[in-house]
Amino acid sequence: MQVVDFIAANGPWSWIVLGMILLALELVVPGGFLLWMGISGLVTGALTLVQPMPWPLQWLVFGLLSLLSISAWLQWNRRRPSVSDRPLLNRRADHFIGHETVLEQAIEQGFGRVVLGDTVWRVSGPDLPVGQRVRIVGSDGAVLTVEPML
Amino acid sequence: MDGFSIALIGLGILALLVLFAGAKTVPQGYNFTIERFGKYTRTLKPGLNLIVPFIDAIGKRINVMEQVLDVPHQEVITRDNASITANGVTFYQILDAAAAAYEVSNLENAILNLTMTNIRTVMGSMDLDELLSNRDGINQRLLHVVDAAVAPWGVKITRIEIKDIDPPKDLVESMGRQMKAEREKRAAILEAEGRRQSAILQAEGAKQAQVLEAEGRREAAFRDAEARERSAEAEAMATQVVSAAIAAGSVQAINYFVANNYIKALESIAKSPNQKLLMMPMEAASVIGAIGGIAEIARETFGGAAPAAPRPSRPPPAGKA
Repeated sequence: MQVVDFIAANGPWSWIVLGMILLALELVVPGGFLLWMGISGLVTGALTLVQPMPWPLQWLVFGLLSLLSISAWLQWNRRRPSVSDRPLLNRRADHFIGHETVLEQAIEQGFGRVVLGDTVWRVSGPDLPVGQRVRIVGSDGAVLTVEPML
Repeated sequence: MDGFSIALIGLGILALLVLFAGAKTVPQGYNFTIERFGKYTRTLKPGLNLIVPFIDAIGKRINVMEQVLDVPHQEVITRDNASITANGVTFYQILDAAAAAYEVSNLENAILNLTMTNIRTVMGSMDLDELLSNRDGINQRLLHVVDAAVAPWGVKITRIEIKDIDPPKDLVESMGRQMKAEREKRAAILEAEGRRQSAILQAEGAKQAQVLEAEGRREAAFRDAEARERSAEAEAMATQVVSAAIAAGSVQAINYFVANNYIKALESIAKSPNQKLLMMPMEAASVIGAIGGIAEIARETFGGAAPAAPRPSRPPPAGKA
């Protein structure tokens, strides 16, 4: 019960300690939420130091700050997703979308083969003869979707 | 410290844990599958993702980077019944995390077994010589077959390479011997070829030399004959001239020549060194006769009756100077 005694004795400073603990936890288990809650804790502590208030109000301030900051952060994330300078990393099949190549094996029963980048890829599309020029328009797992070029 | 405060603190901690559980950070190079009450719903891409705590759970963490699989050594029997060991390496990449997670159990093992059985199939349909010289073809065939087989699992086989093909020791030894014999055969053939060439060249040279020699002799004979002809001609001419001269003049002209030669012969006999013996012609008088012939010519030349040749005065006796 020393914790409760500590909080009772040092009202505002306990918020600051809680905020630091939350920030430390954010470093250990990253997720984003604990960061904003930690900041909210620090801000609540600062407010209580300036303007003392009963503890239910303190909790209300902390909760509201947390909810507002987290929802604002999520909104901001949704509107401005982090953009990678290599969006096609680990998406090998999507590399080839838009490429043009020649069928190495005729498409029969919906499946054929093309040579792309030093290996052979299975392709699906309408039945086409060997040597037909095709454009890759999409991918489904390890199978590329092609359409004939006219 | 009442129960309410404890409950509040507990609630705070729980709220923290719930929030922590709802935010999932997926590192680059991985895809996480999400299971709602154990059923697959969606795949988390790299970056920060939010899930519903309690209901959603992370199913499988799928590595979507290209991976290397070592295919261990295995015994293969070729079409011509040579028993060899072969090993290889397979490169694959998961392109559809959900399929790789749920369509097949123990994906790596499945790919490995497929590769191994197909290595046996492909190599077993070839002769040993073909096997050792046609790895490209083997790799290509393996890739086609295995790639098609793993397609339902959302996996792409990028390449399959055969690393080592080891025939048994005694076979390697005999292969070495075969190569050595092949080289020795070639060397022997080349040597024989060389000897043959050199013999032919030598014979050609000898023939050429003989031909040239014969030609030389022929040429020389021709020239000799020509020379003899020329000298005979000259002789004939001389004889003719002499005959003509004789016909025109008198027979005494011959005597002039004969006497000339006669005297020259005498001279040479006399001159010959350490001569103990002086040979005189048996008919010394005939020399004189020849001289007489000369007198005759002179007489004819200068016309008229030439006075009788003055007798040579005897030399004064010795002692009377």
